[in-house]
Amino acid sequence: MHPTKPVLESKHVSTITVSINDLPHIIPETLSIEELLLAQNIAINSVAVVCNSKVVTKGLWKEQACVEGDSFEVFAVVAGG
Amino acid sequence: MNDLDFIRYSRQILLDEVGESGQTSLLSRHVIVIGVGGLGSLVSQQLAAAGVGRLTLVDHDSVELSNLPRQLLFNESDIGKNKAITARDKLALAYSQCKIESVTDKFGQDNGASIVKMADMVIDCTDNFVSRQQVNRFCVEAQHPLVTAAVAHFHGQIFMVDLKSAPESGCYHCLFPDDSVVSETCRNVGVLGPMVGVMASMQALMAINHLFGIGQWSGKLMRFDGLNLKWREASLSRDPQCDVCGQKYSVSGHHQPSHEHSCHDRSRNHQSFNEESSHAPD
Repeated sequence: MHPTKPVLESKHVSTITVSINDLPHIIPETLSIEELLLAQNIAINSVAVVCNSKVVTKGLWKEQACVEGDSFEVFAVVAGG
Repeated sequence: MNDLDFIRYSRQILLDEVGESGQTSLLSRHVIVIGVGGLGSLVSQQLAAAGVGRLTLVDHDSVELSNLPRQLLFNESDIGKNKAITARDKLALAYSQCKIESVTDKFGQDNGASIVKMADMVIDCTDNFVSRQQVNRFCVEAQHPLVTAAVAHFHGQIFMVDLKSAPESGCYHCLFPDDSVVSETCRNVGVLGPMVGVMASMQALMAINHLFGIGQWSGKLMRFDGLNLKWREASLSRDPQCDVCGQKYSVSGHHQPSHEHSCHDRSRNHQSFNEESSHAPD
């Protein structure tokens, strides 16, 4: 008799751990940077992103995937003088 | 260099990285400070004191009572007076070797290019996002180095744009596209005088180091957390699709003037410095 795979297992999503502004977050491993921001309820036109100490320009947010151990800094533009 | 100047700048000349030749070269440089508020009044004083030979101060605004906790060049008797003129007059008294000019017209599309092209270097001390985008565009067009700093609440940001020496680091628009939403200004979230002082000193130091040609900090975005007294540093990145610098400069910094019109046309869609500034006069 063949064991039936539990339904839950078929929906299992692998996760990775990244940090956002020094706080650890467990996220699906398939997320792009843009999806990461949206999942955190961050308006994508209100922030800039640094990944592992390098600025990721906005044009790359859709295509650049989050990787285990990534360290993100997400911050708003400051304009006062 | 005459004897009095040698005495005046002796502590700077003592620095191996500067020397008499470095100090002398500073006297031939022209720096433009756009915005003479919190950052600009302090940066202007630092540059004039350090021996920059010529400064142009640009601001149409007047001194207000709420400016005084952080705009240390001004006092109560200056309230209502134009900032650029007031700063010019005060700095000229203290630093007679520095030729200082003031521009009280609104910085914007009509005069931005002509103001920026006069300088060896531009310092962005404006108080609003629209002006920052304009200053960046004019500096990219003129291929002049720009030191841009901003401060609000306990957050400070500073970096340099120099498409000649660091084209791979991009420009202000690469980091903050002009559709970005800005929520933090000094007017709506507040700021402490020392926060402004920290960022202004960094801005002046960055400018002076660049004029001397010393230091290893190009291509870095630096952010200051004034609550926890912590600096963070990141490498800047150029956006190849940036509509200010992306299509105009190869990595070698080669200028391709065929794209200039698109930048001019786009920048015409933005508010002028003063239209925006009227909402945030700090």
